Amino acid sequence: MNGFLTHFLTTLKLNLRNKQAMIFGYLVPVFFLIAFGSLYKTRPALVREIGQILTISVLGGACFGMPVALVSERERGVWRRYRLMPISPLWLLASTMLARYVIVLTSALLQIGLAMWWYKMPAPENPFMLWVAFSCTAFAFLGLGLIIAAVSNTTGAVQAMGQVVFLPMIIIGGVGVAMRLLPVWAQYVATFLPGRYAVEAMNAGVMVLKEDKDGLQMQRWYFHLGALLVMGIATSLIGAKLFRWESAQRLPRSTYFYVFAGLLLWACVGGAALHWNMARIFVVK
Amino acid sequence: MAGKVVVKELTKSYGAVQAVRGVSFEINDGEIFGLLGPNGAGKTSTLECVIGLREPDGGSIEICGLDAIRNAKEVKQRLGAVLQATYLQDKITPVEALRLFGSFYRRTAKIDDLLERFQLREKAHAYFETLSGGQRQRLAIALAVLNEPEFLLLDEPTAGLDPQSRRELHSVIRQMRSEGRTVLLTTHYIEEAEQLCDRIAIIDHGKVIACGTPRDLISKAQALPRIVLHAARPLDGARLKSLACVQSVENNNGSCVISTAKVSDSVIDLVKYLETERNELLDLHIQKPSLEDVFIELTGRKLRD
Repeated sequence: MNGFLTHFLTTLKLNLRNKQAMIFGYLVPVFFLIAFGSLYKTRPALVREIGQILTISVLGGACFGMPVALVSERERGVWRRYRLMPISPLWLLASTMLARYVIVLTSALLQIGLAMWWYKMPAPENPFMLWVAFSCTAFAFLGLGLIIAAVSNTTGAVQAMGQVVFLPMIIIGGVGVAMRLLPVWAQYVATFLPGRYAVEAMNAGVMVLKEDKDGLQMQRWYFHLGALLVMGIATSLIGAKLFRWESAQRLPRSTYFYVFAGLLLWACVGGAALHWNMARIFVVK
Repeated sequence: MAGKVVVKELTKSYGAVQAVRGVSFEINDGEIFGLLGPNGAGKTSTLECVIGLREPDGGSIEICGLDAIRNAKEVKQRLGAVLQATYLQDKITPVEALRLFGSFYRRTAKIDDLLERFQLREKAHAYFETLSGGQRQRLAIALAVLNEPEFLLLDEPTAGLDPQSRRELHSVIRQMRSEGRTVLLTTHYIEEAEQLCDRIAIIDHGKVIACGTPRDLISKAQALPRIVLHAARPLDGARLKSLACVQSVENNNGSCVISTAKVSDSVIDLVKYLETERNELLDLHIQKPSLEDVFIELTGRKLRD
């Protein structure tokens, strides 16, 4: 436990000393907030978009921030040195994820604070729901970050892999463009991507669930959380299974199986959401 | 009684390449044991199997009476290791690194004492990226002895260091022995192995080809002692070959290298010869057979090939 805590605190401290990490961890999220604040002039300001803004921040930290840090340390041989220590890699990965969670959480608090101060966004109506949804989102996406780190040999490869996950979710996953603005086919695609569940779950904490016509608003919220948790558990397990101490270590042959199993699980979540009407499809008029 | 470290029939392959082919050796308590061999001989692969960085394909490794593969976590509590290159995060300081690595162990030395002992006090709060090569290597050793290990492994610890840092490191290694620790050292510096090691295993093509004290190994060498001399005027090779006990004569860049079965007799004859020729002796030194000679005899290759 002492090793876990010390590694967690050291990882946090090293992030604060890294200019690049600070820019991507805090400055870029503020830039996204300003971009959304300038684009969407709805009233009350940003309440319908804050879920998207926070999801982008978590996605950035998960797809780029954490795996870049992990892979660059692995490339330098830091993890090879850790391998000589009497500690399980699971503790080190868990403390790395926790440190990144603290970074994205503080970044989210900064975004919410600035949104309230600068754009006069009303305070979240249910901060606890928002925090729960944010934490589930972070868990799901950081697990995805572990997989990206595991399969990438270099930081360049992390950038490429990260974009493969990041861009579809931003463009047609209901994260960069709101679900209600997407064409119907894209909304169906988004149902098979985790981004929309993150956005809708967090928005519920900001606006408090409005009564849906079918009265399923609370069930939907729980389903969204469940979907994110299932994804978090699956991706974390796969990420830990594929973990490598050194870039020279080969990925096991079972890698494709695990990645396929993860995708299949997520397809099941999307199918279940459609089957039980847990993901709303907005008809564009 | 079994030694502190017992390695038996260790094998390790990388694809079609068999890097370690049945290596066996035993290291006694409080001994400095050297693995000597050229690059690619298999010594780093052997060492990496011993410290748990690689999983051996076959054989057994016992450290402090424990099976190192089955009880890896417990064994890691008792050993320290310096890898060929130790890199840490750019922005970590020596104090933070020692605290971090210390947090993984049950028992640790005092960080202040380590900083003092390895002359890192002034750099205690400097970022790793600002440390010199020697300071980084001292930090690597401080990290290796942080848990006061019973068994310390050093993989080419002086490679790339300047002579002063190398001497400092040698004294640290000797100090380890005086504290009763067991040390396994790999090197391709023959002088280093001769100076530091109580016993040496020469390894080549993944096999131990000779093992013993440096003196024992050298005594088994078939190479003859050599007299290397430089005179004011050229020397007659045929005349030199007729001197007492001389076996062969080579001219090498103006110097003569004489291989002899008995150095004292040859030197006396040589001096007499120079006197009669009225030739001035400018330089003379005697080279005893070395571990390198032993290595060449055993493998047909030079140590640093």
